[in-house]
Amino acid sequence: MAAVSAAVSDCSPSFPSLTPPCPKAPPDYPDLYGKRRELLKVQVLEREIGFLQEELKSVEDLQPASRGCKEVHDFVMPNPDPFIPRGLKTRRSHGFWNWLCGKCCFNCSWLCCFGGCSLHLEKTSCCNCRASVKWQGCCCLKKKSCQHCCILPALACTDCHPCNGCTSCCTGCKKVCHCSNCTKACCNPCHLCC
Amino acid sequence: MSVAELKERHIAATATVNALRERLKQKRTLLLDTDGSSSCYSHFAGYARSQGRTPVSFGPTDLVCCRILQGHTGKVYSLDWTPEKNRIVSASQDGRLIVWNALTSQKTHAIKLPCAWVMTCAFSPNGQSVACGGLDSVCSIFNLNSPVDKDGNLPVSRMLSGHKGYVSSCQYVPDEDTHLITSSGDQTCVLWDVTTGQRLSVFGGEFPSGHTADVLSVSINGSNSKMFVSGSCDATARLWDTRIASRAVRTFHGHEGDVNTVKFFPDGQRFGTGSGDGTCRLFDMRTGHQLQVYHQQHAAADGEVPHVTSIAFSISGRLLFAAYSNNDCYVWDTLVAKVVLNLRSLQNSHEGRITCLGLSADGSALCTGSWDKNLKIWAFGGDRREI
Repeated sequence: MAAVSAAVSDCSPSFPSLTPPCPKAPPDYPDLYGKRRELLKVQVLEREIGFLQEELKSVEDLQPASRGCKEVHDFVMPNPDPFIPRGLKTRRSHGFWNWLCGKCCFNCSWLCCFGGCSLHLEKTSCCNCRASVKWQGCCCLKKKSCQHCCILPALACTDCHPCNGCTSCCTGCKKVCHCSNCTKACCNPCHLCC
Repeated sequence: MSVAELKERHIAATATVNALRERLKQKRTLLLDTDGSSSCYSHFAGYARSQGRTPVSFGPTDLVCCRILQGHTGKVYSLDWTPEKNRIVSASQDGRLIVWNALTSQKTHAIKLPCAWVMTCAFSPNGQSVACGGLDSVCSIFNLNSPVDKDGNLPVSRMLSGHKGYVSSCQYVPDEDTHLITSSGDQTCVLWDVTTGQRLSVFGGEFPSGHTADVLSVSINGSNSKMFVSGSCDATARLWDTRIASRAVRTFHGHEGDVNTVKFFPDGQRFGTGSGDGTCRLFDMRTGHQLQVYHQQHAAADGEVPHVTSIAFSISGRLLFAAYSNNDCYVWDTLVAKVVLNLRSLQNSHEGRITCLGLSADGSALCTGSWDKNLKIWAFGGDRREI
């Protein structure tokens, strides 16, 4: 009762209010994680300093850049490059020709064969090159000497994948075989369509 | 030692590192002696000019697009040729890998991926498997000869898990179907045993000093498969020896932006880089010298410098193919550092950014992959003059 009275009487402005309890501040634990992380960063940097000092010493013995440039130049110049137009003796074809003039179902009319023919092609005399077949692989009309012409043999289409599983392909599915004389109905895996 | 003292040591060590790097840069500059010019762009080109080299000249129809590979329904992000036969694997935003017969344009496989967010793909040396990786932080291996599952999908034959960030690039070790190297957004590269799925070596990471930002690209030396180079968002390229994972053999500074792509030069002694700073560079692996910078202003209405997305060298090393974010694809003459062709100006060029490039094994064809969802194959279609 006395406590209640005291509490009631506390409401009156004449009595000082009690300070609310406040939690104690946590003890000062050492920030071990932060310290270890900082130590690791310093160790990485000091290791890097060691590497850089080693590299500075080794730079003293390095050959100048001109030697590297010469090495690149000497490597590049003698090497043939399928992409670079340069003067060449007539020679047998290599992988480049096999790739372009190899098994191909397309009408490769824009391809010009010159120099040697690949092993898959037939050589023909340019005397047999008629204007009407100018763009069917015979390039003799482009050459003055007309000594080396190649024609692409008619090749069969490669086998297309069977379409037995094509039951629900989208109507927009394009199943096109790129061979002009191919009679196969479906030449792409069906699940690509939908 | 207190944290405050450690922080002071950290500041002092950083200053020492920066000072040493500056001294190293100055010493290297003294060794760039090719033409006496102080310009950092002209070393190699100066030497080539002194040898009487003129730029390669292309006619308007010398380089032609001879195949268009259509089938992806999203942007193409990555491609790789088989080492022997003419097949290509491509990875796309549509969440699929497609394996193509490059000669006939036909698709031999279309692989629906467990995670659609793919960034890279690669063919195994024997052409029997493909690997891919992306935002799932996993490199997935598919055996192309496996039977498909009941849904018609090719199952994953192995998952290489362990990276803590996205897998940005992957490449099989040449002639080793069981070993593969990946690069990752977790700042490391990893050498994997594909058979067991185990990590054999981790290059970089927190304590073994390596890249300090995402690693975006790797290229393994075709002449010495123990060496590979990586390119990173920390603006450096690093050379690694797979036998020594504890530290990079050498760090190559010079770029002023992310190194997005790296590729070894055909001689195995140099490598090229392509960067967000808009330049490509040629570095000497053994000496660390920067031999040449390939930089040309692009026509850009907004003044932004387009970044390099992908590079490839022709088989002789004379040409550097470089794709940029503004849809350009420059062909550089590496010896004289001149742009000799822009594929963008050719007939049938891509309608979007080219994100990936690759040469066929015999060097006779270049494949490009683009945001326009297509891959295109380019080859020489001109005349060769007879002597």
